[in-house]
Amino acid sequence: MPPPEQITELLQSWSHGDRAAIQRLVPLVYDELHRLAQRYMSDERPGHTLQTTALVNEAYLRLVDSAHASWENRTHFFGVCAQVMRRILVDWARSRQALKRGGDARALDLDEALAAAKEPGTDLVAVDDALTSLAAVDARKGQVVEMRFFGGLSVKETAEVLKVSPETVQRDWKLAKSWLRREMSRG
Amino acid sequence: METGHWRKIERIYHSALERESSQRAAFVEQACDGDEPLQREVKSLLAQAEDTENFLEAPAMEVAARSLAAASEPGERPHPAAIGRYRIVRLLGEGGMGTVYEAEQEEPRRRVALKVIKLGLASPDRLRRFRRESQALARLQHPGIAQIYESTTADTGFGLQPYLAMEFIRGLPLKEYAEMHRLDTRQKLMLMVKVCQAVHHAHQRGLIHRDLKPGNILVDEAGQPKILDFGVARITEEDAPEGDGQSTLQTSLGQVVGTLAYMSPEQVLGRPLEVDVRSDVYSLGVILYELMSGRLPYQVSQRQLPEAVHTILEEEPASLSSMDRTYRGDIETLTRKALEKDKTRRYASAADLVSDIQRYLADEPILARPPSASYQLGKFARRHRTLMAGLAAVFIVLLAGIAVTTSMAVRASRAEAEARAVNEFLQNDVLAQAGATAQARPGTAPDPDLKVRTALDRAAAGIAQRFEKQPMVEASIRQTIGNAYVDLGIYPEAQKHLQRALELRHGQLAEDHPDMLSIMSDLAWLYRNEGLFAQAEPIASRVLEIRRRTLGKTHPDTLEAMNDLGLLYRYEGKLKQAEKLVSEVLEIRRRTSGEENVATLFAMNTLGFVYQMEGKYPQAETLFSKVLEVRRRVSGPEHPTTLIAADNLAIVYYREQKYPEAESLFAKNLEMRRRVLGGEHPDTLDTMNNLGATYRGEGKWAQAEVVLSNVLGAKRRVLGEENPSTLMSMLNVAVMYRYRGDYSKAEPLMVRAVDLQRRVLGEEHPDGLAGMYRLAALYSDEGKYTQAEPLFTKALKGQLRVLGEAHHDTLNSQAGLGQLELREHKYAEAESTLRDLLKGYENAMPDSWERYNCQSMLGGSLTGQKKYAEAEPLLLSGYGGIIARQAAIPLENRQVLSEAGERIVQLYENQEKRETAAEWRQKLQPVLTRR
Repeated sequence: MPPPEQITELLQSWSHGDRAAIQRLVPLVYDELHRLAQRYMSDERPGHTLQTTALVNEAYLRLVDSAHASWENRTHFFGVCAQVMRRILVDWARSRQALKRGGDARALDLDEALAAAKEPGTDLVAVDDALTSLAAVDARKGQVVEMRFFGGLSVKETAEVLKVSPETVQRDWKLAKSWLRREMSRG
Repeated sequence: METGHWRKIERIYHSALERESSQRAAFVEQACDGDEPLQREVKSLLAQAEDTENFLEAPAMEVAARSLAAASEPGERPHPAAIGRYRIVRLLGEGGMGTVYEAEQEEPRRRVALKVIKLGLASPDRLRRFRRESQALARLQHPGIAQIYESTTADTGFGLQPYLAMEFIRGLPLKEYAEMHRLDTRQKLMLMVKVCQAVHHAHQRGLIHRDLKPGNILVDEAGQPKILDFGVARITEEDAPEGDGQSTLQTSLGQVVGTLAYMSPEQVLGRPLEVDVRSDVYSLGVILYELMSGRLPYQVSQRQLPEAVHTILEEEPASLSSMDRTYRGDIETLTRKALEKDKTRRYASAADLVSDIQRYLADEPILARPPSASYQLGKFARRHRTLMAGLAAVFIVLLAGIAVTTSMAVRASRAEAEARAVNEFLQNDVLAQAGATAQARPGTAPDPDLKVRTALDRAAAGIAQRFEKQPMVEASIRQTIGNAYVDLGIYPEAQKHLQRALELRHGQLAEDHPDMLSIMSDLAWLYRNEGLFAQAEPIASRVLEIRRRTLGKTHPDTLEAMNDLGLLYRYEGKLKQAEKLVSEVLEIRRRTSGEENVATLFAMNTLGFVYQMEGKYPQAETLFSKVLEVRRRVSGPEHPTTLIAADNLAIVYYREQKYPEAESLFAKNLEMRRRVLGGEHPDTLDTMNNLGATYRGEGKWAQAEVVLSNVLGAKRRVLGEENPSTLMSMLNVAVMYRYRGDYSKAEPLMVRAVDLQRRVLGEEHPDGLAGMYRLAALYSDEGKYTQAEPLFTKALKGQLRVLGEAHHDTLNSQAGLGQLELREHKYAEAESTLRDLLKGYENAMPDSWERYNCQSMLGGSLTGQKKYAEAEPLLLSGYGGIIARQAAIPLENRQVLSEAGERIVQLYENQEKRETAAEWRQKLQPVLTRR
């Protein structure tokens, strides 16, 4: 388990603009989130609402040296986690596809039970692919999606991490979703 | 796409959305100004915009989880074509610990059962352990145990997945087999014999099943029972002693309750250290009972969880003979012996059970004895003890290795609806939380209860809102949770909840309502555990007062409250009051229940302790002798309670310094405890400890060292370094070294013990303070005055606050401080300390050698200040008093005699009264040399 001070330090660096810090943070945080994610995901009772934020919160509490943790750090931590969560979940989704008999690239079509709308099933792998493309066009929008969708951050929290206004996040989010949806329906 | 272009798209997109939908198309055309590709781009994006309301709004985590949930129907969930070199044929079933497939192996060509085990994320550590465990399993080769062929891991793309390949067995589960083949009694018994033999085989190789039930036993066509899942329950559990927490096992409530029926009390109580082969024997007993009678000994499936557990712990099964005459006698007896709740009374091994069954089948007399009157008495004592502790029983249910604390606070007096609400809460909020939150925490100190705490914390968080309109329900739940925290030792939280529960009830219930009394008792218990005796006392008093008033003086609940308060007084050191109260209890009990009644004996015991603390040893001796005599007669010389009584008496002997008697009694006790309980049982270790202390008191250093070191070693092993009992032992060994004068050995040990005590017990616990005092005394002896003084002061401060000025421990610390100041020649300070102390002794123990020693020391402080006239009478009467009581002075304190004598000589020499000084020196010769 990585020492809390190390993580706090890296978080601080990152919030001060050190982009490399994120690269070093990710592997540190990965294990913890991976484990937590597994636990959350193996809760097999349907209809049980999960909270990504709760999970990340827990990871945060455990990994970060709470004495030195400031709110700013926490939000940045969440930002890191978003990246990591994406990796974890997409890896998992890909592996499930591989397992399915007669494996098919777009096999898993899942219902979003809560969202009553007629949405196409959210295929995490497809989202990931599309998101990669989006990030190539507009990095910030890619980050917004990553944080909101994979990291479960609110608009406000995302704004905090990216150091833009919440309105900007809203707009980014809207456009990004349109873009992704279009991308994914082209398939 | 180049940035400028993208920005344009973005701008137009957003602006378009600000307009009415009917006007959008026109706006876009205009804004794009003839740029066709741009227009197409924006339009296609806008086309999506309408429908993105819910798109990606649910976080990815939920999406993933729901997909998992959706695919949880066994038929639906895709299964792999192959795992390792096994080709999957079909799904056999889902268990709490994983999925079981039927599979085919190529070489050798055979059918296997493939058990893919959910072990959460496979860290290298877990994998190693899994490999180790399954190797042990694979070595089990017995016709009665499903053979494990291979255990290994496969890469499924989501980490390494461990799995077991085992013998594929075609057969019927035990019960169905017996029914289908219409087995008679003899045949059933012979089948059981085979099962037990298989179980015993595994036991001999160090494996305990822990989850034996008829569903786990298949009988093949040849009539050979095969036990499945041997030790798998263990692989998927984390060892509690390592405190590793819990893997991501998910077991539904229904599954747990199903298994509950076969679980032994010690398993149900979630005490992993107490689970041994006899727990399997218990399960075998349940299976046997079921086989014979067609029903379970305890009906738990229809019950709520807390009730179910209570049933297992407390209820007696219906006797087999009531169901079928032919079972009367031996079959009933041996089944009962296997089902004993007290595992020391069960068959010690599956082989013993087999022997008795075989004896029965051979028409030979079995070894098990039907329960005697003394046994019944013992059982009452056990139950009664729980009642007398005044606690709602708090117990832990094992959810496939997850421990959850549930409280049985639901009493008959509570309304039905309330009771149901509490139960529901417990199951849905606490247990369910525990299911989802049980998880190992790498890198933190091992704490097997941490997961329970998490569950409790979470459940506790939402209570206020959930039950805003139902204060009584909230109160019940808070009481439940509060008690659970008490049991975990998390006192601040406990206090919060219990106090709130009290407040809530206070508003609505009369003070003499049973629920008010119950919460007050619980609060008092909490305070007592925290060592906050002063806070516990008024509450306990009030409870007693109310009970007296409403139930009368002789009602059992009143007596219980009296006893509780008496115990409290005892802890506080208010011995006179304790004596008065407990004597009263004893007198009433004697009168109403007789001398042989267990409750009476308990009161006798308590009073004995009080006398002991007061130093009234002869009276204590009388009482303890009586208790011992009755217990010996009624329960037998080897019964646990008899052994406790013998220990208590021996302790009094020790205090009276009747060392030979103490030694002999302890030694005898030790031998019996070793035999009955085993060498590492906590009670055995306690007796060993006492024996060691006796040797120490006699000055038999070599023997003392051996025994006390053994005890310490064993406790370290069994209980861990930080257990309060181990720390006590550490101190004992250290004190022994100190009395021997071996300071270099004593100091490090004592420092460590005190340090740990401080960490484990906190700064205000009486034991911790006593430890501080002993360390200070050691430093003082070593001459390390600068280290000793602050420690004495600290201990003293704490003791004054927690125990009061009259308590034995407080006085001891004061004496130590005074002596230290004398040694440092700080005469004025010493005088003030010792004057205070003398007053204390005159109040609490005027007739003790300590009081006269204090007098002598005070005299010494005056001599040092040249106040010779004042000093002389004190020195002389002090010395006189010590001499008169020298028999009572323990070996380790013997030097007070010579020191007191020295002071007299010193006085006369200072005054230049040489002749008198010489006279005294003559007189003291024998004393002075006898160091």
